Amino acid sequence: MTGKPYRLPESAGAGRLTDRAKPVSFTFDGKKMTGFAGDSLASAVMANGQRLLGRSFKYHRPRGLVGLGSEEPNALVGVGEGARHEPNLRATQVELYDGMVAVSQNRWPSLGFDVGAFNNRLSRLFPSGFYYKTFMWPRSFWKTIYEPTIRHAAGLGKAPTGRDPDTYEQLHVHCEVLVIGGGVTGLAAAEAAASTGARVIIADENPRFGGLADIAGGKIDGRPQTDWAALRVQQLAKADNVHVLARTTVAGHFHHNYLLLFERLADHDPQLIADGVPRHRLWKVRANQVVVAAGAIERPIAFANNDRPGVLLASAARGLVERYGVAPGLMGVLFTNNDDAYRTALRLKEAGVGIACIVDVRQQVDGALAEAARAAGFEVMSGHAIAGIETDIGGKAISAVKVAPYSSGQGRVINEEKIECDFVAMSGGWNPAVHLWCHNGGKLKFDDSLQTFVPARHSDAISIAGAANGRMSVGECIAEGYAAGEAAAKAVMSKAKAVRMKPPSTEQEAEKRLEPIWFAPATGKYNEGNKHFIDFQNDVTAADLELAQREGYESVEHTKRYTTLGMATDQGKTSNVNGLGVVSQATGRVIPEIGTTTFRPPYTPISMGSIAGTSVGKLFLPVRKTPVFSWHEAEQANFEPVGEWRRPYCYPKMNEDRQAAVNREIMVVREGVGLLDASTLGKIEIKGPDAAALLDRVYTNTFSTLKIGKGRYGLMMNEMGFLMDDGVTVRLADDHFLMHTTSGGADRIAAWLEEWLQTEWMELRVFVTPVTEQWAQFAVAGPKAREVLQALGGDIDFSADGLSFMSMAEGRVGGYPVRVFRISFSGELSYEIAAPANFGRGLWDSLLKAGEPFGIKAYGTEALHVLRAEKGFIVIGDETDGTVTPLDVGLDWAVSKKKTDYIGKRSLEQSYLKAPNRKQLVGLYTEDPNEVLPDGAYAVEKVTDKPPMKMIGQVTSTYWSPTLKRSIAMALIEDGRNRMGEMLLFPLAGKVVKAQIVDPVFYDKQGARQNV
Amino acid sequence: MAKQATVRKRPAARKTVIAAKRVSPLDHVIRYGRFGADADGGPGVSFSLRHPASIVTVIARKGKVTALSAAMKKLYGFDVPAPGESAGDRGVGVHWCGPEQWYVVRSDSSDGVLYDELSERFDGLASISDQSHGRLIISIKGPRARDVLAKGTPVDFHPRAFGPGDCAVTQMAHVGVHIAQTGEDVFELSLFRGFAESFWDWLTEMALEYGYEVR
Repeated sequence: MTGKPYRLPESAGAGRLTDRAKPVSFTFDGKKMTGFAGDSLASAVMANGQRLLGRSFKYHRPRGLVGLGSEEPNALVGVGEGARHEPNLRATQVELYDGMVAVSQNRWPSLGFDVGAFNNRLSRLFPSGFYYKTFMWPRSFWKTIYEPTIRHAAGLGKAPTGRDPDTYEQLHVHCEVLVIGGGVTGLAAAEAAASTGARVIIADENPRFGGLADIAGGKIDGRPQTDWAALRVQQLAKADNVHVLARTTVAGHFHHNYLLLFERLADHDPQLIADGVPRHRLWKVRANQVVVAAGAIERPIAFANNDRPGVLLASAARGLVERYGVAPGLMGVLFTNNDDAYRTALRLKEAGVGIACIVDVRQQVDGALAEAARAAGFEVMSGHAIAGIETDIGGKAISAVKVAPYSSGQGRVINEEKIECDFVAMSGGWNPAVHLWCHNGGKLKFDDSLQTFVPARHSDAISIAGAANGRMSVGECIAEGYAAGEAAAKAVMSKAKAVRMKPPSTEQEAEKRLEPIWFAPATGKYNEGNKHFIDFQNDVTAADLELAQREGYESVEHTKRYTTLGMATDQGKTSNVNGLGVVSQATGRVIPEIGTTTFRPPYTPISMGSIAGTSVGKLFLPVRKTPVFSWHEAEQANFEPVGEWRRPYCYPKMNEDRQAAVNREIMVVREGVGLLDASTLGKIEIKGPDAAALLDRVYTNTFSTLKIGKGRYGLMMNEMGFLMDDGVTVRLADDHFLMHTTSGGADRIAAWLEEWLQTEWMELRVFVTPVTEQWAQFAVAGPKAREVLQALGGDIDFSADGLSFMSMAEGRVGGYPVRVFRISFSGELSYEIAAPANFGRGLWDSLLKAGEPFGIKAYGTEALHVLRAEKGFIVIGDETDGTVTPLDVGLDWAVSKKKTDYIGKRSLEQSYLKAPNRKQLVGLYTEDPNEVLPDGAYAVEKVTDKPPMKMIGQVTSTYWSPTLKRSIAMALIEDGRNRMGEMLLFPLAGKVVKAQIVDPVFYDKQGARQNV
Repeated sequence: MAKQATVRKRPAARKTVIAAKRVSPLDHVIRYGRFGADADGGPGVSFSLRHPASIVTVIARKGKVTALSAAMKKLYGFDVPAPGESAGDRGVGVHWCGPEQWYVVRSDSSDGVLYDELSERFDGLASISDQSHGRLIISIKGPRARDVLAKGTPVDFHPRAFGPGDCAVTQMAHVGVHIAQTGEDVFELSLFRGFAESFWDWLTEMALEYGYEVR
């Protein structure tokens, strides 16, 4: 096809945006092509004689260009190579650059020969809802055959693999007025708003402003519309209260005028990327007022096989010629129901592109533009419609159209006339682009004269103007733009004086009323090779919609889901109203009765990179570090995440694996003295006269009786009686407690306390303040702990009587102000010593130094866990999973019987929480002491050849205990405490492990070691 | 003015001065000097740490806001600031940080003194918690300070919406941050110390394109 004169000669006065002095080379599907600077990828490929730009989603039918901008449903392409490949871009919006590598999508093995096109032959088997109807049997085929095959065939584009090498940005911006769309309406609105001094943002998805000013006909102040627009843009760009954003799509409108703007900074020029410019930027805008000036989108017409390459919108044909100097074909037919499309015939003729005739469905055609067309020599076939298309064998090129007489409501057409042509420019009227108006609940009403939906009302501070509001003449657009901009600014800038905008004089041919046509009858039956496409992107035909009605999908929302009309990336830009028209005719209901489907963000897709922004690599998520973190790092600790914290798991020495390190660290604590960074432990200050009352309500045990300077282990339940946290709370004064929570639970528990105080117990005079970060806290644990602390020196008496178990003291140790808590999570003599965090590192170093003669060594979280498991202490989240009560884990002693009420108390009375068969915490000894059960292993009643087997419980903690030189585990087992001594069976991959139920306290059952 | 003497009097609770060094959470990562774009021109922003500092949370007890405000006026010469506002005089800054709660901030060489002082002065009127070690204050200053902040927080810093004496509680780069504007182009960011390193990485990276100085 190459070599045909699709690129119009410069003398044709076309191609306003292209620079013929700057040729640009690129490849499309590996084919080398040339275009000019200023071309879109679509225009450049067309200029090279190729009209086949993609394959359709379901039937893999060959598809060409339909639209001029973001409404393009067919020409979806992938641009860039390797990790820079970006799929699903509309070729109409891709700005050509030298060296561009672009590929078509949805075809295999090639665009010209696509195996999937076989689907088209089988289209009778693929009616709407065919997934639901077809792939039902046999059931097992779904996972193994149907789904993989469908996944291979379906989908739009291919996601790149590999790390994205480019950078992306996000920023928050506030403005008084955001104007969506930079056509004449938007420019007028922005000019008016900016004149008040308000902060204004005007964004347009295109690389240049002006919207359709260049093809809309008519003049402003006697000059081309584009001149007026260019001057406005220039002035706005100069004003320091205005952001003028080109290549920026307003992707979504959300609650309270929060909007996402997707700016493409560097897609059009690889040099910018090389210079370090971010590829995309996501603007998170909060606007006081929004003016939607998004323009309108032309409607296709549903005639037989209207998806053939070469059938395009009249505005697209006009734009191709005007902007890029590219002819849509050599000889065309214009098919319309309105006056505006006649501008296409006139403009194409001016540029030397042939139009064989104009087919107009209206019986009477006498508007000014039609008269001008007749005067220019066009044949106007009024009261006619296109009834079919003749193509070459693959359906890739049009050879003629069949035209038949038409009047609204008539039946089957018999007589037809063939007109030779290679393209069809169609226009079914214009739909206001109401998507953004509707994202956050804007309502619509049906407009009879435009035969489409126009905006009605909105509850946000948002207005809509110009073509988006159904105003189709330039004079109305500018007047409404000025008014909207002024009103929006005044609503915010109450004191500002708006400069009263004087609307310019405009002239434009008056247009007569259009006649709706939702379906142009074919000369055959439509299922005999004829398809009337409504939604090109999702391959939805008029017949599909009618079928959905016959099958009872009466609600338009159901029809949408059943047929996929208006779904996916396109959101029904060209298809929505036509689809409603078909449904209206099929059901005999008028369109306003049917209503519309929901318009969803984004308006057009935005990149994943822009969503990630700078949150990549080391900035992906913040890491929370204790004051001793750099010491752990220097010691080459293995870290594990605990909430946002990174805690040392263990400190392997040279040639030591993790298990060996953990074993060594445990024995250091059992035999000498270990040091643990426990700074992450949640700490909450509870202050106020009712502090004790609060604690009595949130813990299962009593804290009001606690003496000053003493601590008590507390259990916290939720309202359902299930354990949610535990820890030691210490009384510092009558009205002052310090609560310790689990490391991961600190924020959750602080919020939990706040919730009760703020919503239920407003009468309590008590405040909670998280102070986790204020304190560095270290556990000094082991038989030699006391000696280490005494060696440090200070004013605290560490003797057994001076600081007894579960007591605390405040004072100085080694020159640091500290609080010392004598509590133990290891079962050994143990002190937790807390100092204000900025002293943390100093105190840590002092402890290591003072402990050196005693062989002190740091231990990590894994040693901590094994030490506590040897003692049978629970860990929230290991032994509990949100369905476990204190009774289940054998902590009845910590559940008060005396207190009248506390959170969860009443729930514990429920019969099923007292049931005898509940799972209870037990210890396990595996038959083979060297066998360590896997975490979460199931115990079953009886082992059978294959599942299902009746499960009676699961392992909650399981370790190698170097202290006992055997494996130990804790488990929740049905009625476990009554099954002491029983042997349980754990079926694992390839074997069954036996383990005996034992007491969960494995070591030092009397607790003698911590009471020395 | 006469009240100043009372303020400086060390309460009985704190008997000896703590000689140990207060180590900032950024101590081992901070690099001083000039970084980023336009290295020869003026930096877009400059950062400094307000360390060591005393930061104390004051939460008014139920029904005691008026009395607390009077006590604060007696102590510092101004009432408790309204929501979203700060007040300050003679090196003491009081910043609203939640319903009926404030941060009192003072650059101090002595640890714990402000906490003791306020505990005594506001006894029975407020719950006082020392956060001097739990939080870090980073000061950001310069013509591009607002641009750096706009990359992280939805708070509107346009002079028409926010100015010296205003403050806000927000989130930046997943980290809870209290922001107080203390001068024309000067903002103080206060955050939990555990996040300081990650936040510093983020903040300086965001400032790179404007050029920054760490002082």
